[in-house]
Amino acid sequence: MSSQDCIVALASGRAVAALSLIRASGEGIFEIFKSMLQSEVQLEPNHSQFCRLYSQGEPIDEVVATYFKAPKSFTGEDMIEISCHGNPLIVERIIEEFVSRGTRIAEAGEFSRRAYKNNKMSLWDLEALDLLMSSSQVEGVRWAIRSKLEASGLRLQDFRNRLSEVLSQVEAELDFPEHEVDQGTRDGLTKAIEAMALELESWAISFEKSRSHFFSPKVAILGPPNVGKSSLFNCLLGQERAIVYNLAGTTRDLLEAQLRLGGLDLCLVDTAGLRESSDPLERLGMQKSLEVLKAADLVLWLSDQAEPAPQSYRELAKDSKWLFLATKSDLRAREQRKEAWIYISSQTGEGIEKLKKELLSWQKGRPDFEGSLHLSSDRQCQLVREAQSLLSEALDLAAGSAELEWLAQKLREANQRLEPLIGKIGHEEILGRILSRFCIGK
Amino acid sequence: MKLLKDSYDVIVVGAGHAGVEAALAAQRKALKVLLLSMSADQIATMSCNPAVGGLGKSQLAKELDILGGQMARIADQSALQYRVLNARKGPAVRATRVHCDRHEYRQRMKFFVESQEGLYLKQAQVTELLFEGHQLIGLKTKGGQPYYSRQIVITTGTFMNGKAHLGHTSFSAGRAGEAASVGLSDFLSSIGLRIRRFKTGTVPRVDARSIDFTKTEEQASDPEASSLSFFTKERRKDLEPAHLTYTNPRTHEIIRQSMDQSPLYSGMIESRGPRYCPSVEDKVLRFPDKDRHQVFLEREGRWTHEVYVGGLSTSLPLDRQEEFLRSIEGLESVEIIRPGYAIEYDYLDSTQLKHNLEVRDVPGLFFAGQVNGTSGYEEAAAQGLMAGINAALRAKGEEAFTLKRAEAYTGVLIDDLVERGTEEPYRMLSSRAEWRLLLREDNVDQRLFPHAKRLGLLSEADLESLESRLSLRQESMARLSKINLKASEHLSLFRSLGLEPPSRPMRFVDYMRRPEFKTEHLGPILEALEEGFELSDMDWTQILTDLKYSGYVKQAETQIHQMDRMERMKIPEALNFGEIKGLPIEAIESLSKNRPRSFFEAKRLQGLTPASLQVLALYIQRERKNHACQKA
Ligand SMILES: Cc1cc2nc3c(=O)[nH]c(=O)nc-3n(C[C@H](O)[C@H](O)[C@H](O)COP(=O)(O)OP(=O)(O)OC[C@H]3O[C@@H](n4cnc5c(N)ncnc54)[C@H](O)[C@@H]3O)c2cc1C
Ligand SMILES: Nc1nc2c(ncn2[C@@H]2O[C@H](COP(=O)(O)OP(=O)(O)O)[C@@H](O)[C@H]2O)c(=O)[nH]1
Ligand SMILES: [Mg+2]
Repeated sequence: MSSQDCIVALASGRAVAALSLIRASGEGIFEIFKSMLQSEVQLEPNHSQFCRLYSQGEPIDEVVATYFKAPKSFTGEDMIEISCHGNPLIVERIIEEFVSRGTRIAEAGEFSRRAYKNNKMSLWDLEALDLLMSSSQVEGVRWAIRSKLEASGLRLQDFRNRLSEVLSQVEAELDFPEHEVDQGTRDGLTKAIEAMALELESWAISFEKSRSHFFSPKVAILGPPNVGKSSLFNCLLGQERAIVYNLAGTTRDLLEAQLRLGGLDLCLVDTAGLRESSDPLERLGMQKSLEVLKAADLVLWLSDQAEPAPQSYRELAKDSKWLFLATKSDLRAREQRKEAWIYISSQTGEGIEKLKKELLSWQKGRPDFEGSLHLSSDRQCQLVREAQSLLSEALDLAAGSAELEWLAQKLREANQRLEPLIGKIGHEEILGRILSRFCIGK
Repeated sequence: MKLLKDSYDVIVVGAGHAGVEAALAAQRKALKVLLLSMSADQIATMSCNPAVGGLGKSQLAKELDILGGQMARIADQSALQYRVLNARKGPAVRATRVHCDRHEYRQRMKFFVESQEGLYLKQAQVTELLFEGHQLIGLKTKGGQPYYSRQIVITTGTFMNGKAHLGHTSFSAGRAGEAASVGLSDFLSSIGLRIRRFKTGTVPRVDARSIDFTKTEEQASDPEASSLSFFTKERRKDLEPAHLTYTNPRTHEIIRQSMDQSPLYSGMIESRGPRYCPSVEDKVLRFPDKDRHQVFLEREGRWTHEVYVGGLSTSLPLDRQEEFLRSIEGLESVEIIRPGYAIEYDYLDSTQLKHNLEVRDVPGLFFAGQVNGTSGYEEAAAQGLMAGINAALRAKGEEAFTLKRAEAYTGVLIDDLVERGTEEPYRMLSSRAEWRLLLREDNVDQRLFPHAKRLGLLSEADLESLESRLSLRQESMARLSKINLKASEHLSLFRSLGLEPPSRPMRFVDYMRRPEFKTEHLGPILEALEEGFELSDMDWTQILTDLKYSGYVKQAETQIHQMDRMERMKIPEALNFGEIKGLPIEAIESLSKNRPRSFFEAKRLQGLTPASLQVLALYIQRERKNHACQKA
């Protein structure tokens, strides 16, 4: 079986709608589609055509079909897009027809992967698309669209040119000893590297700051047993999701729920209480709680005595935002209240509005859409970070007494890291630049 | 019936820098070798610049030296001057350049070649190859004489269909004063090889007595430079300076006004020349802002008044050359002995070769040197050596010998030629080497000794001296690492050397790693510590560099090791490529047809994109894991 085997899938949502879109791709898909028609219908590439689909002589639906001929299609293969009536039963029957004719149901993301493999899409595009499809937040979608547009944009091109220029300046000095370099050129070089390092840093920072907006941020409710975690969970959700019981160790598994707060989605997690315990089941629950702690974007630390979280827990989520909640405020006297704690009561509702406001204002730090390049995956961000630190090392070398070929080495490595983003800057390109810029030769 | 006397283990066509190394390498493998040259006088002639070495090139020459080639030794023997290039930069881009007496070089090489047992030098022009069915069996000369061998190495340089240009005139030539080789490249095309055309050029040679050297800058030989060959025991004492002068706006004006008479610009020459070796016409036209260009004046030999005018490659007519030369300071009344000229020639598209320099589709036929699209003596010689070795190994039925990009510039050179080919005459540059920091002049012996030993081209004595040098270095290193520095000792010495004294007790080798520590600091410090070592400057450079680079070297070695493992990954013989999900049809076809045995071989197939290779690698790895699980 080769990559050319035919695949089919519903491209639009599963919900009942007026219309649904089915996509099929692969070599011979056109013939398969034609065998589902009764009359001889002329299908021209890139034109839509009204037609009737049949299954063993029985009509299934009236559809509008568009034929895309390889390589001018999304996947780079022959493709058919069928817009049919939106009843899931109809959709299912059409897909079944394809399958009975040797087409297989596409795996998740398979259309994009084929597009990537056939050079219809760069890795950059693929990742941007991935983000686009998986973002659960408006911000994520906006970001991803910008990222997609950027693939062909000038910013990457510009960065690439600058790196290529710096690389060729250094290589020229190394390979053509007769090529003299003055201090001005040297300073220019250092400045250029510095500017690039700063720019990479700004890409990474703005991605890191914004990524929490692409997906619902995780808000973990943590604290010792019996302090009222599950009660708060239910209170915020406005429904009884978790079992509330005055026996420590009641909640052993994790409970997750989507919380909508003024147009903002949060993923709220209730956890097992954290304490010493010999019950293996409870210990397992606690282990899970710690996992959640590590992954949380925001930690709600609950204590009915306003006792701070142990340092070892704080360490686990150093970079996350923490809010400290003193629970059961209805049972405490007002005068003993500590600064920096929010006093809440799930029973009287005290402090709950204040907590919601805190959550909202934490989310107010919106991603910075302007001014920066839009990376679309952790992988890209990681590469950018690595390249940035290599450029910084290069700067240190330039400032010290290190030899020029070390500077060149760092630049080369930075280039390698950025290859998936800006493409390879090969030797021929560098040589071309050197020779067009400098008069070199015996 | 073939006559035994006309039959050889290896025949080499051409006795340029590539040809002599190929013939000597094969001969050193104890084979009967025939070396054919259009002229028995012109052996390893330096067609252009009378110098060996330079950036990237000195590494090639030294690699060849360690593996058992001749170039570096003869260069030292006929040296006129030594220079160190990039002396102020680091060891990875430092290079030695030997300016030679080109007549002496040629004569010494000729005599050396002639003196080898089993190596036959003959003057003849080869015009065709002989086949028995598809099997290469020999060749035929213009005079109709056949010679037989199943291994033939072609090293015809700039000679095939060579055409020289001087002003508006052009004439058939392999090099000025020598006939072109006509017939062979047509024959090669007729058997289906892709032949293309390049051009190159050279500078005028002038009479030393007509130069006023007092108006030029003198450049003495560099006393710091070490010999090119590892095996040179004693350096020549009778070295000479070179001289430096400059062009000026008037020179440029004359050249600009003569442009219509340049075959490069009138459209007479259409083939591509080396951009990094521009003619002076190119320089003036493309860089109008520069008001002067360097001109090196280098004697061509001790027994001639001819001077090489470096930097002024040209193909303008003779009178124009004379006029612009005379506008240059020191050359006001210069007399030209031979004018500069440009030359066009046929070369082989090198992507038709395998890594052993054998033509993919014609077993036994090897190519090396400028005929593969390169430029330069060292590039030619390095290929010649490798082709000669591989022709010999084939004759003996042994496995091919190749070098990796990570172990030698020679490996980079051949890999570039075979994998990428070249769009202009290919010159070695350090920037072509991705492992530049590993491929240094100072560690060539260490890098290649194991290969040299296995190949056995060097004499027993030479191998021994290499080995003892290496072990001396190792022992010295062991001793060095035992030396400790105290905190308050020799303070004034360190300060007088401009070094920060150690602030706490530390190992001397750790102190040596500091960036500001240089080789020149070693002498005084070791003396003060009362430690004596019998190491040469080159040894010290090597030790110090290894120390300083150790972090990088370790990291690089891991990477190289991983790449190697990947390349060596075996492809199961029974593998049905059609079953691999995700492989495009072209890849399946190419793999099924060629049945590569390893990933390394698969990488070299046509029609395999990086994506396909990745799919293949993943598949093999997964299969292997599955197998392992089943067995367990
Ligand atoms: C005008 C000119 C300018 C150059 N400029 C530069 C430069 O700027 N920089 C640089 O690095 N290099 C330059 N070179 C190139 C340098 O000379 C070569 O790279 C080097 O000499 C190549 O060595 P080789 O062994 O491949 O070929 P060559 O040295 O050219 O030797 C070829 C040999 O093959 C023999 N031969 C050819 N055809 C036949 C045949 N049919 N039968 C038998 N024998 C044959 C010839 O007699 C000769 O002995 C220049 C060369 C020329 C001619
Ligand atoms: N008075 C008072 N009791 C509370 C409050 N919140 C929780 N409790 C009680 O504390 C006990 C433990 O509550 P629960 O939510 O199960 O705690 P958890 O173990 O941290 O999840 C239950 O008996 C709750 O009724 C509150 O705000 N006020
Ligand atoms: Mg609970």
